[in-house]
Amino acid sequence: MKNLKLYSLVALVTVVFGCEVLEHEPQQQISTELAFSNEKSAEAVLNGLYNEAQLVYSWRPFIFGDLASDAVQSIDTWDAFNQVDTYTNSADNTEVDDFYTQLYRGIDMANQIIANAPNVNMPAAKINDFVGQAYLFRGMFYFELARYWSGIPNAYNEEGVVIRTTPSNGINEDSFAPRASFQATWAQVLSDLQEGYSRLPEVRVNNIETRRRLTKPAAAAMLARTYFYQGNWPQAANFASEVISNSRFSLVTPFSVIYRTEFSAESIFEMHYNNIDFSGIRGWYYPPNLGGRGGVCFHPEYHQYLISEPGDQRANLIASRVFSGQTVYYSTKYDLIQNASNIPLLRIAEMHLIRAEARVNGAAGGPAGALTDLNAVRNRAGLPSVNPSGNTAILNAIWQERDKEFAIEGQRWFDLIRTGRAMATLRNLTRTAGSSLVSIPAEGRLLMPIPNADILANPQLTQNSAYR
Amino acid sequence: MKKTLQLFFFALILPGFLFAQERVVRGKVITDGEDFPLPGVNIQVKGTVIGTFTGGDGSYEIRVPSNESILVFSMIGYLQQEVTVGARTQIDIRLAEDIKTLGEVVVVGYGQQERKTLTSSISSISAKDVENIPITSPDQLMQGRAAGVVVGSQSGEPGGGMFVRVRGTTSINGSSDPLYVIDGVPLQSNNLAGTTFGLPVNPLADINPADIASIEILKDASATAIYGARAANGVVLITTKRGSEGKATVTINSFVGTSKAWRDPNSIRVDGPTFEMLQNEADRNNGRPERFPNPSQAIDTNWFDYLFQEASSYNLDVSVSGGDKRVKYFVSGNQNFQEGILKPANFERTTGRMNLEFMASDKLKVGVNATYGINTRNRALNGNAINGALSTAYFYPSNFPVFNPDGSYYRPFWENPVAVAVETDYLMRTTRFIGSTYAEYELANGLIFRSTWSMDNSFVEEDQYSNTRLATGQANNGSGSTTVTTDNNWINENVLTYQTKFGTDHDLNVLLGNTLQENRFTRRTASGTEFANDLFKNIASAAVKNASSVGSSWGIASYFTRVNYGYQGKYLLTLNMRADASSRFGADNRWGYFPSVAAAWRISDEAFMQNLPAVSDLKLRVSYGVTGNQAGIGDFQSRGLWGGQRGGLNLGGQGQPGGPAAYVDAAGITANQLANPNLRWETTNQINVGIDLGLFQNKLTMTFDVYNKQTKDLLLAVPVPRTTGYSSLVQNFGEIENKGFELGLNGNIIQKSDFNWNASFNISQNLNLVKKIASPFTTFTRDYIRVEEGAPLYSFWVHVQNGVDPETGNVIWETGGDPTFNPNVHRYLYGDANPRFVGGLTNTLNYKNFDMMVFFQFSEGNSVLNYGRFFFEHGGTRTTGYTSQQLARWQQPGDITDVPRMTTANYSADLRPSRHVEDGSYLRLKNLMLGYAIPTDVTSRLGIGMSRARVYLQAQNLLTWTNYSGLDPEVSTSPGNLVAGVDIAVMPQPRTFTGGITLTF
Repeated sequence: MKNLKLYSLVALVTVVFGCEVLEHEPQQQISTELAFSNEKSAEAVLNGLYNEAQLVYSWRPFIFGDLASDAVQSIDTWDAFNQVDTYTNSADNTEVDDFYTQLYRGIDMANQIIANAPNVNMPAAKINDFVGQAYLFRGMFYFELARYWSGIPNAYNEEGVVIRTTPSNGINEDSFAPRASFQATWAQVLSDLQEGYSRLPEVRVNNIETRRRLTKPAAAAMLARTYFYQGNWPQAANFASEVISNSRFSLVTPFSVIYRTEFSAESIFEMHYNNIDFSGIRGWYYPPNLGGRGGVCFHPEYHQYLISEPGDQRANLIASRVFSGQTVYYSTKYDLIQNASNIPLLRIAEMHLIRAEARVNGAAGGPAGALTDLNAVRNRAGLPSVNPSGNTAILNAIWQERDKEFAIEGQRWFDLIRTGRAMATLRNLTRTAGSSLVSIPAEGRLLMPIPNADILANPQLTQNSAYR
Repeated sequence: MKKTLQLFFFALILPGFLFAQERVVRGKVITDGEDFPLPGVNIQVKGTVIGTFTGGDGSYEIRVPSNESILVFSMIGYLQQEVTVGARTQIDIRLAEDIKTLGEVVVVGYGQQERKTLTSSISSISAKDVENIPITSPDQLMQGRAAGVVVGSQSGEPGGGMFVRVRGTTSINGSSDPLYVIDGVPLQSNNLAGTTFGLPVNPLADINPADIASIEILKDASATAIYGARAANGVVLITTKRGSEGKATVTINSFVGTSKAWRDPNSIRVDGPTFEMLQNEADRNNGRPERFPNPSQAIDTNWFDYLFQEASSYNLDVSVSGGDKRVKYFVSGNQNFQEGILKPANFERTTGRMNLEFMASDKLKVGVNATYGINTRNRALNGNAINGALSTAYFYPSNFPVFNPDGSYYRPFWENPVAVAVETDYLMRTTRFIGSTYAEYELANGLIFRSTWSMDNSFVEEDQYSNTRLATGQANNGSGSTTVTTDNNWINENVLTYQTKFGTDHDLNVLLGNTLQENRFTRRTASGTEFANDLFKNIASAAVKNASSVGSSWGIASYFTRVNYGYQGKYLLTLNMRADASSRFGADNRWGYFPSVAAAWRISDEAFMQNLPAVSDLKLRVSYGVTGNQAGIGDFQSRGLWGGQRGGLNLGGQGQPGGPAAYVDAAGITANQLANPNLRWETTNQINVGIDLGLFQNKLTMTFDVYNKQTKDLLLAVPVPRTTGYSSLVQNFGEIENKGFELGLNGNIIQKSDFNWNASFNISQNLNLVKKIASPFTTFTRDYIRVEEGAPLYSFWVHVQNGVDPETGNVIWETGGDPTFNPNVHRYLYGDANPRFVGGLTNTLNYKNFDMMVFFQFSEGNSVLNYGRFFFEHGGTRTTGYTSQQLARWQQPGDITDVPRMTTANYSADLRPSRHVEDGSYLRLKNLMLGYAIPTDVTSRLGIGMSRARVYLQAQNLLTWTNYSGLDPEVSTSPGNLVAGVDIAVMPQPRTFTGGITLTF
């Protein structure tokens, strides 16, 4: 009898605790259904999309292009960079893989918002705004995928990239999509940007919110850039003009204000970072005693090119240091310790230079208008106006201005490809850390490899030609 | 209670009163052979309750009723002797060690069993084999001493992580570490270090090795299935010392030691002039101007001189044990300190233990096993960390100065190696309590109920500060972090056992039980920058502060049963069954069932074997069973999750940086994980066939096992198309095979009164094979390791080099028949880190008062990726330092070497040459120990009750034979489950000499 009591006690303990020990809930996470349960949570998801965008634009879109061009070089042991720098990318380059995956991570977040925000109980205008921001980001991410992995119209291209417009909630047949066509990829970029353009508001509650979040002018600027890449000069000029005529944006002086002041009038869209939620670009340029890694610096010839015009204020944003007995130069555009500097992604100077090039190519305003835009940018940098004659000379002057204006902003590589100058220019580049000259071996190297891991996981995918 | 105590004292005093008038016999009990006095020997007058124990010097005194009285001298581990008193008043006895029974009782899951009735495969290591070896954690004791167990240090850092595999690696994304159980408490054995500046630390270093009585490694499914869902990787049972009946025995053991790297790091160093000469040679080869005008005048900094030190260590163990019929106790304390050979690493441990067992009544036994310890690690930044001390010492060429003229560190990139070693403040302190209380009640004859409540609580504090002489500190005016991690487990176990014999032939032992366990984990981190002064290191003084806290939990509920049946002691059968439910899996897949069956036939007990008297033992064993694994995956892996933290996604390369998913000051959430509601246990089916053979009264014994382990439904992070926004989803997919054999031999080669020689040898082989995975994938930086069907885990993926063309000095690459080499295509699996054979040989010799132990350990057929060579044999493509392997480069036509001409093409950034995959086989004289027992007449003359004194000298890692060109073939940087056998700038194993003394009172 006594034993029976004991058994019952043990059985009771087991049952009571036995159920309890299996009941555990995560402390930092919630389920997918709860993510869109109300307006506040949907807003947090939207901020989550901005967070993914912070990761996309942390440094990779800029440093990859600049390393691949003749602008900057890797002096690091990090061979993911050395590969990009020396045109020896393997399909397993982990940085390329991270960039690609992070872009699709952002696209999936945008897809989540596009699919789920309309069902959240909140005002229609807010839904429209949330969905508009998601569309615009998606267009911006496809723009990166298109130019890095698929190619640029009228220049060099291979297949398009995989296009996904629905959120992933699990793995199914749709998860294994083939690459879309090159045309469909750029069409997707345009349609997403247009969706964003049609839905987004002109301004937000204050200056900071207006410039750190996506707005209609940001969509217009992206449309200008996209039409510009496509050689659709009238449309590129139209959208550039729309932004330039907006009184909220102006060429700020001195030049350094763009980087030393947060949310200046220069910025159409500025990616916000601080010392807790930081980017990564500064660390790659700044040396160790200033808290960086110092793995990337200008090619010596490119540095000479950047400082070639006396009085150019942009040359003030360059510092030097000694690396293994040699003096190397790096940009100080993003200078806050801990990578806390904001990154102005879309700024008004680019609109001027887009319109200038469009005008030379036949858009309204013509070469004279082009020179007005060009000289506006030059004068702001502290340089006198120029007046080259003939379209070729004007184009060359505009391209040169773009190089100097957008140093370390990731434009040079695509400018070279876009204008058909890449194969001739990227020859016999000197590298401080390597002892031989580097040349781009084949046109196929104008594209990044599709990450090998993705090729293995998805049998439908094909690799870009240079990496097969 | 009071009544019980009175009874207790009365029982002690009673015999004295009853037989006070009888006469007294005195004497001394010593060991046969070594002549050591034996304390604690039980002396009983046969057929009476009269009894006593020998004292610390082996002497006794007993009153005997008559001349016909028979004295029975007994002690565990010694052959019992009976002596008729006769007319003698002085009876001295030599007790011989019972070789046959020694180690015969082995600890099994939830109990113990005689080895001869075992049906399963279990390796045992007893304390005697491993006494006084200067190691920090008990898992190191298994290296080379237990067949089927592969043990490797991850680095020479004291208290550093270990790589332990029992019968191979069974999991890809789950954990493949064995389950450790100490005195019935499943141990938390994950690395709890929250900071990732260094290699993993070993949580088993929290346990004092001197407290251990035995280690049992359960290997086949029959032995492990009772641990069900956590048993697929084997189970290591650690049993600590108990008190035994007898007078209190006090043991004091202390040793001091000194260590150096076993291989001189200077042997792979390149001096300043040579560095400049090599760089110039590369420039010439590339048709470029030479960088250094005057190499012979180059300065020469030997970074290693600044980093390595002759490390000291000391250890003090004190224990008191004893008991009587009702109370048995073992109480111990340990203080251990070891410096690392690489500055500034050191390890200090203080532990206390109390094991107490008390008969509350004839039927009720209660007890406590508890240990409390604090250990403090001064950690080195090393391993794969690019800013680690040893790593930068290689990266910084020897033509760099240490300091700038102004006294600051010379730092052209990353961090100056001397600064890392000298200026780093990186302290980790673990406070750990492992304890259990139990009650055991005999409900009826043979029917025992036992209930145990246990805890395993760890509290880990980490403080790290980078002062302004370091790059990080300089940039931020000081940068510090502090992390507090708690890991709390409670475990309840209730076990009912029933043991009976019916008829003369049938033995039955039935066990039925359940267990519950819950774990709660928390981590709080604060970090800060901008300190007023390097003297303020607490985050309170930082101007910019950042903080975070996270937590998680899991629970497991289980029922288990075991039936042992024996017929005539010859035919043995064991059935096991365990049911486990884990909170980690979805409600539909929560329960897993793990059965096993085993049978054994003691052939030597058959009548027909009696004609073969040489065969003293022969047993055939067969077992089959299923075990599971749930370790290594997230606590909520089956759910679709959104969180306020990013970094949950495993991206292809470096992955997402951690941090909140916010947009600066606006709180955000992001998708962390895709749902997989079907997630369930990983299961392993294992078959084992074994033979135990004993010859010549078991003077020679052999154990041989072959096994085949098939693991399926792997908890695999199956790569999914990255275009979904995710890179992987943990699914039950894939199969891994491990099969192999284990052979153990033990021989008492010479057994004479003053000379003993015992030798034991073991060798084992495990063949690992990935049989099915979703798609091949690569891991480790630069994709050096690739997991592919048809190849073992830890396979290296490289560009295979067929030598160097003696005419041109260029590499001849393997192209699989293609006309031109394409690094994107012609990359192959080449070697793997799994050894073909591992094992060890121990010789123990006793001659009079001298004893000697010689222990060799080996690993054969494993490849090591000398990843350091990838960086330090750069052929001029980098500005960083070289190691001496570069000197073997091709220089002129006719040179035969595998290190190519120093040109950019031969050392291009996208090449992973196979010459860096080296043979990592080694044979090591792991321990050599010499001891001398001070004769008893000397010790007794001291008059302080000392019964035994032994002095000893020990050498660890004294000799190593290997072809490996790096600092140590045994070390491996291992940041994950999937990486083994990779060496880059890891602290090598120390060669340690110790001298010590053991005193017993």
